[in-house]
Amino acid sequence: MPVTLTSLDDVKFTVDKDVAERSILIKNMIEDVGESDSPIPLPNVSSAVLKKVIEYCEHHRNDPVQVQDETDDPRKRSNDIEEWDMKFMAVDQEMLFEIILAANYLDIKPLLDVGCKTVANIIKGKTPEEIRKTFNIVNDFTPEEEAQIKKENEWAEDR
Amino acid sequence: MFSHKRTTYNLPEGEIVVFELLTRHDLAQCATVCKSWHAMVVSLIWRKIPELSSTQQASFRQMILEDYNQHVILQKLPLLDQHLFACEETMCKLDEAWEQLWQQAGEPVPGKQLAFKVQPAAAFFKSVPSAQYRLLEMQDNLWQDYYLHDLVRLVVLILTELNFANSEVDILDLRQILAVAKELTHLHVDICQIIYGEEDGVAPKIDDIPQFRAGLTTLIISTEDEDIHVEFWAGFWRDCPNVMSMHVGSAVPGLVEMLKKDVPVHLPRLNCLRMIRGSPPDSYEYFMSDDDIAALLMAKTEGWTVVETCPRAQLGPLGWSALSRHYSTLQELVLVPSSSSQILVDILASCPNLRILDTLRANNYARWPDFETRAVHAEHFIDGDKNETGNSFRPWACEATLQRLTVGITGLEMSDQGECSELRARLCGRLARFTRLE
Repeated sequence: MPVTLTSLDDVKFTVDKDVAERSILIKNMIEDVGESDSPIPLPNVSSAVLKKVIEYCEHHRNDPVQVQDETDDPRKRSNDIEEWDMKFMAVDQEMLFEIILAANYLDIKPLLDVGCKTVANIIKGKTPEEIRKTFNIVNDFTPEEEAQIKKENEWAEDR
Repeated sequence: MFSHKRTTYNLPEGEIVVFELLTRHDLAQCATVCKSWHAMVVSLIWRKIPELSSTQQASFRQMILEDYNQHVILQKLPLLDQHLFACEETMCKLDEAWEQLWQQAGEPVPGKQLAFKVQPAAAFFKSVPSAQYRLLEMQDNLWQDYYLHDLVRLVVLILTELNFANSEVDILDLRQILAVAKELTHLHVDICQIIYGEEDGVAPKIDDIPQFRAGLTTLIISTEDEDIHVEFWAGFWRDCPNVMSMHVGSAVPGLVEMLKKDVPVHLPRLNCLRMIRGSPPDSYEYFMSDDDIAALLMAKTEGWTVVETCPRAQLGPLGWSALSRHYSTLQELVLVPSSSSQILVDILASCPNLRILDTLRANNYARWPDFETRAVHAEHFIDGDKNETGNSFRPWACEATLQRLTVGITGLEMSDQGECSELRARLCGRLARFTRLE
């Protein structure tokens, strides 16, 4: 039983139900509405992003559903990313963030995790200046403030 | 989680998930990227304290101690509260740091003590609302064994105000806290329950911890615990000769009698009596009777300067009569509800030093909506000036001193016609005579 999804820019995607239901949001919608032919509108997701998200869901359609673990400790989670996911996430930054936002909106936890891990990996090992450059962030500290903050957190740095 | 609003290329607001994946080192880098990142990561960094190596601990300690000198530590305390209280391991590691801190604070090194006084530790308790409760909820062993003890000692040492509002407190903890609270000037014991520990029923002694007693100026006792031993409180105030202000919230059996006896003897400087409860009352068991109030007021033959009553301690005829003996010294009078318009006028006319008369401090007392009794009738307000010359106001005693007057004025109709406007004009004329009214 295929499901039709409509993106923000009104592009229709027809996917298998089990693929669509990787998204908890869509799964709940289908459960609420019941079997229906009418397309599901996703007004927060553009077609370009939705295409990527569907690609991910199709690849992972057979993964066991992740059980939401309340005690899930992100610190203990590994930062390893599967090879396929890594390639999948090799997109420009704009798209990367769009995917994360879409994964959050559509409630696709594994995709959200992969997205966050990817961003974390980008941050890793960079100096503050490099981070600012990468993410196009303006440094709003005065030099004094920056020095103070640096000093305050020195104890946390590897030496 | 994620917000859907974001500025391009800036991490979405609340993107804590990403930061949670980072190491301490990377977090430290993130902290200096920009202000919003700093705000997001700083508490995450502090969470990493338990994994510090010994060199890093030394560096952390250094930071704490330097910050201490820069007053920054107070801003950090909430973080400590958040992440350390929950983490025993961290407590152990920080023990040493606090010990140093404590030693520095414990020695009266000028300047260093001052650093803390700039922002009294009461502010700490305010900034960490949970701290005082946590403190009391702490397991005994934590309280005893970990740095917290030192932290608390440090905080209490410079504490000037101690408030055990609405919490349960173990009397031994109370002892411990009081034992180091040298600078305490305000003690607020508004507790629902005192836990006496194992020696149930034995009034704990506290006369061996006299450090703060001489400095204590405000003592707030408003507990309804029937088990409270009046002797326990008496033990308090008998060594506190400088207490000037006492709040007595309820007439726990024996309390009034004890106070009546002790006020003239042990509390020579006491001049402010507030018969109120500090916090919203949950149960009203021990109303102060007119007798009780009168007894307290009579405990001093003269000289109360501040008297406050509340709906659970209402003045009756005896109370009024007792109060009238103090008209000459009264400076502040808070009466909720007051008794009658005539009495208010009487007070206004007879108290030469009255600065504040407040009968409408009523937001807390919505259950007593009887506006009439808090109001002065406009007719009374202008009494004495009915004389045709217009110059013969009978002066009220407090005209030169009254700064704040909150009473309702009744009998004024919202009309601009004839008598009413005349009445209003006279009223305004009357008010204008209070030269210092704000």
